[in-house]
Amino acid sequence: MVDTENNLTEAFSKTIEKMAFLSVMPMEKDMVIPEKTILAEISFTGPKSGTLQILTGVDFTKVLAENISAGDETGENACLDALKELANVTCGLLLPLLLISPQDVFDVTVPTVLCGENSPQWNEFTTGQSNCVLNVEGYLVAIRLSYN
Amino acid sequence: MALNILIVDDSLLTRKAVKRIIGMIGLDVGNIVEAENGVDALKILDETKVDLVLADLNMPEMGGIEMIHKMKTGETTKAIPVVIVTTESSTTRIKELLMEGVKDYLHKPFTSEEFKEIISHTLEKTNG
Repeated sequence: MVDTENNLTEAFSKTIEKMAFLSVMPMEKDMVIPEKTILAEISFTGPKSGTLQILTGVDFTKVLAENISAGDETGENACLDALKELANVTCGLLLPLLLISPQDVFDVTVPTVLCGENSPQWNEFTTGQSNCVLNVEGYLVAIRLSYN
Repeated sequence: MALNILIVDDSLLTRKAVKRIIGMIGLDVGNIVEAENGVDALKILDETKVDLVLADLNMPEMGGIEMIHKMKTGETTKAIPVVIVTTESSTTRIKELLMEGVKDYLHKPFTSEEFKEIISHTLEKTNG
């Protein structure tokens, strides 16, 4: 569990810094739990098979889209696109940490998103196993990795 | 010679980011065209003169591997240099693509400096 959390944090932090110029910060007390959530999900098969999910609030996806596009795009489609790409790139950095042999090959699905009523509630999602909750410059982001 | 560049990626924001970086690094660029999957990219390659393809691998409808395979077996497209811009982590798969004729690869996430280095290197290899 500690390894999974460390791997998730490492892969996510590298991604968010390089892709959107945002930093993972220490958790603070009384952070605002997102009411309207969006979930991005990407699955992989190979020596290990599983799913990476990222849940966050709509507000954070606007910041994400704005930073990736240098302020050009903040509409709904751009927000969904930004979170999907965040999941895609994080997964790309995470999979080498799960390799058994350097010759291993993973097949990865195209990322999908769930929003509105279809997206899980924050508390329900974050009480599960194998997930970590991070503070990205004041916004909460939860990441869950499940694999076998 | 001004380069006509095709960016193939299903993420609109990534295509925008790549376009922005191309603008920043001082390349002599003609047209920049975009496609969101391999099917659209092959149509564009059929109709438009393209000097360099920057392609993601993981895309819906037709991914980058199939698209590159079709390009490398097509008379009019096999000589067009391709750089893959990808989250792919498998060195085995990257090696296969390089053997098939892909010029180089750039791992997402990347900085503008990393992008410039790869593109400059690719253009040197292509022209030299």
